[in-house]
Amino acid sequence: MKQIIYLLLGIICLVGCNSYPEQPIESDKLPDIVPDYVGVEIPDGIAPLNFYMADDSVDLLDVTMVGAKGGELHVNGSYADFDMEEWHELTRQNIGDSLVVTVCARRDGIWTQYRSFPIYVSNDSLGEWGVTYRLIPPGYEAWGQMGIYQRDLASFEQSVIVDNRQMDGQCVNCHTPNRTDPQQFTFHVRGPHGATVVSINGQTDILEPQNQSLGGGMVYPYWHLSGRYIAYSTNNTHQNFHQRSNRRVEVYDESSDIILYAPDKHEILLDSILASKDGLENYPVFSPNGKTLYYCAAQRVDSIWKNYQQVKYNICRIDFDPQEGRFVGTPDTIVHARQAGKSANMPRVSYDGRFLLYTVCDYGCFPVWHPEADLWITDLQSGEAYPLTEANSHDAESFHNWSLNSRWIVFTSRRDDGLYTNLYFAHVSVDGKVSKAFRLPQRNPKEFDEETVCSFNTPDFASGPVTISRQQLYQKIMSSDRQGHTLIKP
Amino acid sequence: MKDLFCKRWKAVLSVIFGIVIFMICRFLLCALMNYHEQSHLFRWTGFYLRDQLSSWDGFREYLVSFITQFFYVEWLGALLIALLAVGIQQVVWRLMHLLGLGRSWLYPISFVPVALMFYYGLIPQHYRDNADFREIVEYDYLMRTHQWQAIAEKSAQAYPQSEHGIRVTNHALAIQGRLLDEMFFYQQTGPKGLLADDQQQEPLTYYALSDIYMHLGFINESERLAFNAKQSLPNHHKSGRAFFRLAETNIINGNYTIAMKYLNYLRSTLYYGSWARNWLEKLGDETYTEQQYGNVRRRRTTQVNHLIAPDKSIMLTELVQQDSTNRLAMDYLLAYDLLTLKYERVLEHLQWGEQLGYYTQIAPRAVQECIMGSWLLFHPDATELPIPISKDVYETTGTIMKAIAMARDFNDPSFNEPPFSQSYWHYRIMVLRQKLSTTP
Repeated sequence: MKQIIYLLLGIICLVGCNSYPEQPIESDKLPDIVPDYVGVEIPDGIAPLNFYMADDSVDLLDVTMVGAKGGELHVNGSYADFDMEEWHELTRQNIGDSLVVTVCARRDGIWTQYRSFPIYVSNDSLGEWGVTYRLIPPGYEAWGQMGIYQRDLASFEQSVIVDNRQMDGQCVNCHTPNRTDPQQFTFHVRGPHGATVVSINGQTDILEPQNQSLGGGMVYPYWHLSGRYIAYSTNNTHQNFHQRSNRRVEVYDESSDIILYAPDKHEILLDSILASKDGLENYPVFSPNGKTLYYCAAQRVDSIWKNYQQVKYNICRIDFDPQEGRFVGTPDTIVHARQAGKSANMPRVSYDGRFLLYTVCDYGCFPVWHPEADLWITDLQSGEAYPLTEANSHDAESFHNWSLNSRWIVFTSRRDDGLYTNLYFAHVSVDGKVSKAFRLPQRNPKEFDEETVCSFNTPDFASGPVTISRQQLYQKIMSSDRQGHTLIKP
Repeated sequence: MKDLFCKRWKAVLSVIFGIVIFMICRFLLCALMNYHEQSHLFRWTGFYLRDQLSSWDGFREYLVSFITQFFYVEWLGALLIALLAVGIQQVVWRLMHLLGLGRSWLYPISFVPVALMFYYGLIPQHYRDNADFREIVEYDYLMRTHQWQAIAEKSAQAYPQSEHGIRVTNHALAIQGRLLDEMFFYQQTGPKGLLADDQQQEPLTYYALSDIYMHLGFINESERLAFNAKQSLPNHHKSGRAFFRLAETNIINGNYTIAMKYLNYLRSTLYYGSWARNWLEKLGDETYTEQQYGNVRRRRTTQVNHLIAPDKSIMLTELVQQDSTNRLAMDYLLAYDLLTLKYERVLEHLQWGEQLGYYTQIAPRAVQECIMGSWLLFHPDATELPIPISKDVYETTGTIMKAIAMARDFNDPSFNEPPFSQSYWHYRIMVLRQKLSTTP
């Protein structure tokens, strides 16, 4: 009997014990790891940056991570899978300094040790609990399952905010909190039970999804810091498809305006300045002090399905009087993208008011399908504009948002495979220097890459989790009760 | 033999039951089995198991997907169902024994539960009750398995009632080079019965549309429709057929990173796995890709910024301009012109086709009918027709045009009889009737 037990223990030991690098071949190359975390800057408190080797022939990884200020981690397995507590302890210990990562990979029984690389732990904390985003198959007309989710950035825990399977498979999109506050948010539902949902401190209003007088559905929202107003674009959007080339889908607006919704009064302001007949106004965003509205503007063209490449947006701004809830004066152009033959979209002002972050592409207002789309910043103090060279990639960077402390940005990027967008984060220093971006960490990134067939959309930071009752929300959406509104045209 | 039957009649009955189930699945329900197979995707991975078991209905889904993967091989799927049916029947009989109902004369009762399971479990209600859906499933199966002659024969036996059936029949005839001769032998529903790209489709029709666009050379369209098929599956299932097509289109377009994602997804499946693993090894090997998909690649238009045009004639013209050996696109172009009633385009594209070496003997029948009839509408003399007309078409079209000239009411039932009913002019009268009925 004893012999059997020893034999079993021996087998378990043989199967369970990993091999460790002995006299590895030293390479001066950096390891080709996925996600690419080489030289990235991270906040203390982010979930472990687990990774794997791009080369499928690697069957075992041995990773050592040494903190410049102390501490060490060592993992050994088919991918680098760091212990959560040890990881957090190490990053906390090394705030303001770096972790030196040494990767050894085994192929056909032979170990190779790659050049070590740093991961910088920023002095600037994230200051947020997590992120919210939509997960959707990046397709064409049919979407199937989709939902709005939230993710704790200190761990790998993801939870549902709304799941379209509970709402007859309708489309849900554009979840937008007020300054990352989970108690104030809005999003849309498209379909037979379409609605715009506005939730403020537990009080949820379900609005009609669109109104004929507005010329389209309520689409891209942004909150005024007071919570008294939400600016929405109303877009008459179409999509078409490329016959050839890697650009698959083209999304364009035949018309678009900007409206202002006052949730407490249920009033919609439709100001002709932001609803011009010959113009396309889109992506409204309030400044952090609430006294300015930034937005994109372009001239309409005829037969847009043929002339879609001629539509190029500038970024403009107009003063806003929060007391009266009125736009004041005349618009001013901040980003003259059209002059440069480009189109600027999705403006987002950092919450400290210093930087304007936006996406630049060749034309149009839907850069996610444009491989050339890159993130740019305009320093609102100096007026200097520049691309985020360190954070951008060869493929589309599109939707983005700031953390409340204005030191971190989250954005979507198609860099990994050209179709499925992922979330990336980058640090922005006080003087506007942007670090290399890192991908949202996953517990098992290889499994995630192989198994996930969804894209991340419209991300934003969240200071805490949304805790609204999903069942009540679904019931309200699926009912026919809709909050009316008064339309005001000054 | 008689003794054996008497002694073993229960076993014989079960074997006969199994054989009947096998025959039904193999020969009567093979299209439905194909439908089930392409609506599930079983993968031999821990992730798939965990993912399935994470929902309350997951274990049942896991089992169903496990079984349906074998439907890819028709005889094997039929055999599996037959064995399962006999197995369940035997379990029921054992249970009856345990409950004291094991008397021989009650043996036939043990077949009832499995027969009901078979009927209600394998055959969905919309398949049992909806003839259009049955037709769509059957044509889709024939399309997937490239049974072009069987499609033509099926249509000849009973004209397709659904637009999908017509579209698949058109395609089968086009593949065989018969479309322009025979397309009006059955009722056409318009240009969408040839090519459609909008989303107002029965989800199952996306597969066949994806195939049609693929064969023609519209790779991006083929990908789009395969993606729509994937996303339209009931209960958010995955489809091996859709993933296979998505991998193919991305290989053809050189999007190898995305292709790799789909191939990785398929490599852990039983029947798509070896194809996927082979391609994972060969990705980036341009010589191999050229061998496999060189012809398809050359068919693609080089107009890189062209969106889908509402008028498919423009897109089909680009295909023929790109690759003049693409006879399928040329036939589709002329068929599209005929269905959109564009006489000038028919004439122009016929001449273009002749320059490219097609239709050199004589124009296809439907084209002759269109050109001769249209000529006679404005020219009383049939001696100066712009193209040669065969004797048969000359006589029938002459008769038809005389009747049209004298007609007072196009709703006259005689227009639905031969020779009208199998002519281009019947289609044209149908369009006219439709216009008149919708004009206030």
